[in-house]
Amino acid sequence: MKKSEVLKTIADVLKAEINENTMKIDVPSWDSLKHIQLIMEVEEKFGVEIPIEKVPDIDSISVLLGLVGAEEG
Amino acid sequence: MGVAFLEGVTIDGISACVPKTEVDNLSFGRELYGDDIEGLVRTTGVSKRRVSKEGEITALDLSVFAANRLFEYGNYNRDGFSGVIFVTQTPDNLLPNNATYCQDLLGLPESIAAFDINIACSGYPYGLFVAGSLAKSTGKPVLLLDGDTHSHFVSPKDKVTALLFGDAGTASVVSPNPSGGIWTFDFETIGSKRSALIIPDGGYRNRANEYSCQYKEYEDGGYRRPIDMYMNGMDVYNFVARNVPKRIKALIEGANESSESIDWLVLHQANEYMLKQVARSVKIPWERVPISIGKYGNSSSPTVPITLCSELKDELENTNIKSIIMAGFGGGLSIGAVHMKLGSVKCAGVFDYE
Repeated sequence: MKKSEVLKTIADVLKAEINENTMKIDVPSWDSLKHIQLIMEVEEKFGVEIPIEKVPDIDSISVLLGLVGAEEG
Repeated sequence: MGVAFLEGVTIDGISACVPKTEVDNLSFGRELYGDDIEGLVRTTGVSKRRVSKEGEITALDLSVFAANRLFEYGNYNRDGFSGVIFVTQTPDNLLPNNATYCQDLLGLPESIAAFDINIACSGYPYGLFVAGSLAKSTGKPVLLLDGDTHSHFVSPKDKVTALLFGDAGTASVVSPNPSGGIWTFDFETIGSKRSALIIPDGGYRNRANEYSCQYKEYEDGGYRRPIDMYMNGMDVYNFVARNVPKRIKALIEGANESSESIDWLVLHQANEYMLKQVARSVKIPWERVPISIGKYGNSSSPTVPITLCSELKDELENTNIKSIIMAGFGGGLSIGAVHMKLGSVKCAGVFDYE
């Protein structure tokens, strides 16, 4: 899937303006409930599986994009 | 702690009780969460939950109700018990404990051991460990009560916790049984993270005072009182992610089982999608993970026995032996997990409190 599609999904869940460089700490709406929802939405929408053991590593949009395997575009 | 074993006991009977009042989270959460409510209900799985009014119905009331129904259902002799243990963090009083009161309320003999265990969401496996040990050493059944009313200390305006918690009481009869097989336990405690789930005031470190009942907005966006629960949701989620699959895998190995041989994985009902992630990690198909969070919410440690009663009643009553893992995790931060083989359990089901 394209990065732009994943970024749009993330922005829709967080209801915030984000880009590849956005850190979790800079998005006030990105709390624990949104965190789980975010993972659920990208897994379901893009047919990927993010191992739960990787969840604590997700501190930015770029880490999430990497785990999803999003490609340029 | 690693793996511990107990042999020669079984869960002979089990029942649960919830308050009649049902909260529909889609309606309840509309004002606090706005349009986000649909997505949050879908993620957490908590569409409905049962709550009791503070001061009217307690964890003790719910658990005693469940026990009385179980005694009738299983035709138990109340004089035959050697112990009553109450797992709770919401007792009627700080002194004396709930269990001693239950001895009287339930007509149990005076020659009985009665004590509470103060532990959060990991409580049911701990209760089974202690009740099983007592039953084995006395050669008589032990009544294990597990009840909590966490909705009483959740601020309805605290976004992290407002949707999640319900109230419940449960009763289990743990009996000596030479053919009960081996119970395998695994425990873990990360006390350095204790402040991730905490009620700051009302204990003896910070006694309830004139400020304890005042609502205040906090930096985390929560609006609550110092006598309400604070939860650092990310810390708790990260704890579950890092530790719970690891402990379940260790338990499976310690019990000489495999993911394929486990019939049922009964997890603490904390968040439905998180449970899916845990099940996936330990390679147990989602169809073998019973879920009751959509009906009852997160009632802390009672979620494991209530899920047994709600989702597995027929399976438990059947004589076929099932291989079951039960795992609780949460406040402490703490994990308790147990593997056992069960069949022919007298399961009275889930009752509405009257």
